[in-house]
Amino acid sequence: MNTNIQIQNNTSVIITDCRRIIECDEVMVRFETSKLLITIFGKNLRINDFLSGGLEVYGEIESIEMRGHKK
Amino acid sequence: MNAGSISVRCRGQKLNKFINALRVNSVECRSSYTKQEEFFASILYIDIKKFKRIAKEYNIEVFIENKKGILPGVLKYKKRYGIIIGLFIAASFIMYVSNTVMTVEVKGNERVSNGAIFSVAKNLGIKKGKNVQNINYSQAEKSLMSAIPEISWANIQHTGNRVLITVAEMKTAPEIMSKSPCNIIVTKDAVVTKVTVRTGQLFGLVGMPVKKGQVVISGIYTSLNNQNHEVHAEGEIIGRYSEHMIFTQPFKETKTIYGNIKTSKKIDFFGLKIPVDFALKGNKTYNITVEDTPFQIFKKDLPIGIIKNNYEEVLQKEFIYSLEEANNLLEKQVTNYEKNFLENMTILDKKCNFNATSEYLQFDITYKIEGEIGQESPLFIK
Repeated sequence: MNTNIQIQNNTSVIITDCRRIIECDEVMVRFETSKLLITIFGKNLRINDFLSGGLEVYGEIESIEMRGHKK
Repeated sequence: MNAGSISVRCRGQKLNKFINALRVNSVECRSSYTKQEEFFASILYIDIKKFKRIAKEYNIEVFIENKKGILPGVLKYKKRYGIIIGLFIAASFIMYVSNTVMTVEVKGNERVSNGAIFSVAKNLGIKKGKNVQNINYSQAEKSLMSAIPEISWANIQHTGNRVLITVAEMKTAPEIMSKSPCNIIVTKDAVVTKVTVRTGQLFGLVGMPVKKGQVVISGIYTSLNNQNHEVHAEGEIIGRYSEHMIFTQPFKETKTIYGNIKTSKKIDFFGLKIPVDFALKGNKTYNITVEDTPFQIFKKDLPIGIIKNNYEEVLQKEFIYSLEEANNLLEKQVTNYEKNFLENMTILDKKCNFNATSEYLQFDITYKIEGEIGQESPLFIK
């Protein structure tokens, strides 16, 4: 399954396929999709959790880090 | 539809596992974040039980920070039985009022009185307090028309709890002046003093004595070519005649008089009459008048009001008169008679004889009168 990531300015990131939230606080959100491990850094980060498996991270986003999934 | 949401604060060791467990169990978290080892989120009110169960499973402490929306607001009052009962009563009352006849109005009548229509409508079940759904309107329309022949068309409909009876009345044919052949006869034994003939043939002359029933102006006359014609005789016959009247006034008589007025009130609640004060006792006779005063909202009558019954006591009282009082009463009788029956006549002479017994006083009056003595008498011709 492919993961779609939609970035709106530096205020919001919407991910369509979030399998698991690994870590989450005000400055960093790390989660796992089917193929990637994504870490979002910023300030005052908040999460909106969609029951469809989607996730919205919003706040003052500074950087997004993506790594291939370890199998 | 979001019926309500709860802001929660959670504290525990396995926060990330707890967050993922919420995702797996389809507990929707909004505006969630973690700060100083605490998880903050806004969840749906309906998910709170599931949320607490999962929290317990992961040994997480849950603190409810805030409740928003309709559901938490309503459920806050779930044990306030008074409010619930009050709302239930109010809802029942509104349902009852909207299905109950509150006012009956009549439109379109001129000759037929409102009272007559209301009375028939009442017999047909259209009255205050009746259920609007239980009225058979088309049947009532037919019954109303058959009960009051002057009504040619009727329509009964209801708007909410107001029943409107619209009627159209029969148009009466214009009155046709009777021009059928007739004679003019005299109604008294008299001496004719003046005759005016407009149509017809005069039999008799001024100064001629006439007997009651005698034809003075005939509706049949013979033309110059010896043919008989029937006409509607018209004219005036003035004559002099005598009239004898006896007026009697007993010295002792029983008259009906009206005593004190007592008032009783009833509350009219959707046609149910609830008495609020005294009930009249005894075998007395009363003249009763009823005043119905419904309460109003925006000038519209409500089916709730006050009914005031005025009881005027009717008494039989014996009066004893002196000779002078009886004489005054007799004179009053005579004046009334002359005013009512001899107003258009000229009284030429009046002879009065008094007759007094131990029981009554009597005036025996002979009038000499001059006035109209002619009357139309129809001609029946084969």
